[in-house]
Formats: sequence, structure tokens, C-alpha cells
Amino acid sequence: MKKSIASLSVLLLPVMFIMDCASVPTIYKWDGYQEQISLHLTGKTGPEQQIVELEKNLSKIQADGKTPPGYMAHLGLLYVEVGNDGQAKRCFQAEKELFPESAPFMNYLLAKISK
Amino acid sequence: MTYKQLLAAAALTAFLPTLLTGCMTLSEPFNYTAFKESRPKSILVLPPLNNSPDVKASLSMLSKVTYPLAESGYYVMPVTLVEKILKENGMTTSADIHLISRDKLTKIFGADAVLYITVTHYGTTYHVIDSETRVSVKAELIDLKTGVNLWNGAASASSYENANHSNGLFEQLLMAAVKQVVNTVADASSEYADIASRRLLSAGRTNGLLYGPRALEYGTD
Repeated sequence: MKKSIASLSVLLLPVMFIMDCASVPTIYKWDGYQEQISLHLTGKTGPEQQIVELEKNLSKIQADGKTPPGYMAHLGLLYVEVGNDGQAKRCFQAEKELFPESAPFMNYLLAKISK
Repeated sequence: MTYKQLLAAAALTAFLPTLLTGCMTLSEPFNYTAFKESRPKSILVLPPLNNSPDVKASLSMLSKVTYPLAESGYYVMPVTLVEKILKENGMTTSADIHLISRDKLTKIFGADAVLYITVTHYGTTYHVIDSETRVSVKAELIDLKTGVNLWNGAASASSYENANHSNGLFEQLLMAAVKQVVNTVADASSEYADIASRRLLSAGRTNGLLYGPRALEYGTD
């Protein structure tokens, strides 16, 4: 019995290491957001399709209060691309509230829309 | 202990040091004095310069930087909007973009620091008996107000690493995680661009970026 406990602990030690490395909590909830950036930059999906995807994931992400930097701003860009300036403004404003660091850039974009 | 148990225990004990060394690399420590004086909160990442023959390299790399930088505690200027606004201002090549003055960048984006990335290798090289897909990048972080260099680094990711299994377990887990996410998206190089980006831009690595203000570890490194 003693022996089996000893061998068990030897077996468990690396497992503990793995768990320690793998379960690093993230600051934000990503839900495929970076993938959407890729698809947008490479032109593989259009703005309409991305709006559906991002709006769908947004409620999940917001429930956790962990919207990643740029998520709302990117959504705003998509709305600009489909000509929905009202929604675009709402998104840029939301980005600014979530991340005050974005204020100068968001103000620049909001001013562009208002023109 | 049976012979089998003994063998398993021995194998695992031999495995442990590899785990530990996987996280450690010996190299000259980076001087963080300027970084600690500047303590940037937000980072503007410009479309990378591309020294590889693959035209996809620049945007592919740009699309991978948000996750590691944000998870390191920084606000990342939204990359798709940055690219769009630069384009609207007639800036279509990375070479031109990297020459834009700090004043002008500050005026539009208002970031604390700017990250200049160069893709030095991107793609698959075919050898006689096998092939290697590799992505290599280097980067330089500059204070947008003062122009002072805060940090520079380089990283690579290669398909050879999978074949050799020479990595630490942490690296293998990281690669497996990335693989799952990227599988659905694109070409093989894109996957290695993701890994290279995380190696280059994740805080807490040897000579890596310091943690930013939105990370719990901020100020501890």
C-alpha cells in the first residue's frame, strides 16, 4: 500500500505541473475574436457575416465582463463598412468607455463619422 | 513496486528536468531601465515589414499580436482600424508606414508606445527528404513621446519543433492550444505566426515584455 502511494505521487507530480501551466486564467474572454481579425484582414469574410458573429458572441462575453481590447472598435469598423453610422458610433463610444486608453483614437473616428 | 511501475516512475523522474529547463534559457539579461521609466499603457502595432517572399506575411502577423499583448496587460490599438485608417491616409506599404513620424502617429492614435515588427522568415522550405514551415519575427518597442527604445526581441516557431518533441511541456501545450484555434482559419504558416507572436509578445518570458497595467502581475517584474 505504502509503495503504491509512493508511486502514485511520482505519477501525479508531472500532472500537477501540467495543470499549473495549462490553467492560466486569461484577462479577457476571446471567443474567436482574434480569428475574426485574421478573417477580416485577409478579406475572407465580409462585414455582414462578421457583424452577426461578433454580436452573437458579445452577449456571452459581456456576461463575464471581459470584452477584449478592440472588440467593440472592430465591430464599429464593420458597421462603418455596411454604412450603419449610428451603430458604429455606439461601438466606438463603448470601446472608449471600456478602455479610456483608446479615447484619442476613438474620438478621431467619431469625428470622422460626424463629418 | 513491480518492474513496470518502476520503469514508469523512472521515466517520469527523467522527464521532470526537461520540464523545468523548458522554461529556462540562459542569456544576457535585458536592460529594462527605459521601459520602467516609460511604463506604457497602450501600444500601437503597425503593419509589420516583410522580408519574406510571401505577401501574406505582414497582415498574417498583424492579426496575431492582439492576444499576447492584451493578455500581457496592454491596451492594443485595434489593428483592423489602424490598418484601415493608414490605408485611407494613402499609406499602403509597411515600408512607408514605418517611416511615419511619431508626432503624426500620436496625433491620430494617441498611443503611449509603438511596436515595429519585422517578419524575417515566413513560409515553407522544401528540402530533399522533408519540409519545414517556419515563422521568425523581431520587434522594437519605441516610446511615442520621447522616441526612446524601450524593448526589443525576436522569436521563431517551426514545424521542426513538433517533429523533434524537444520542447518543454509548456511549449507543447501552447502549441497544441494554438493549433486547435488556428486549424480552422488558414495556411500552415499562419499557425506558426501565432506561436511566434505569443513567444515574442507574451510578458513574463526571459528578456520578454514587462507586464502592462491591466495585468495582475503589473509592477512585479
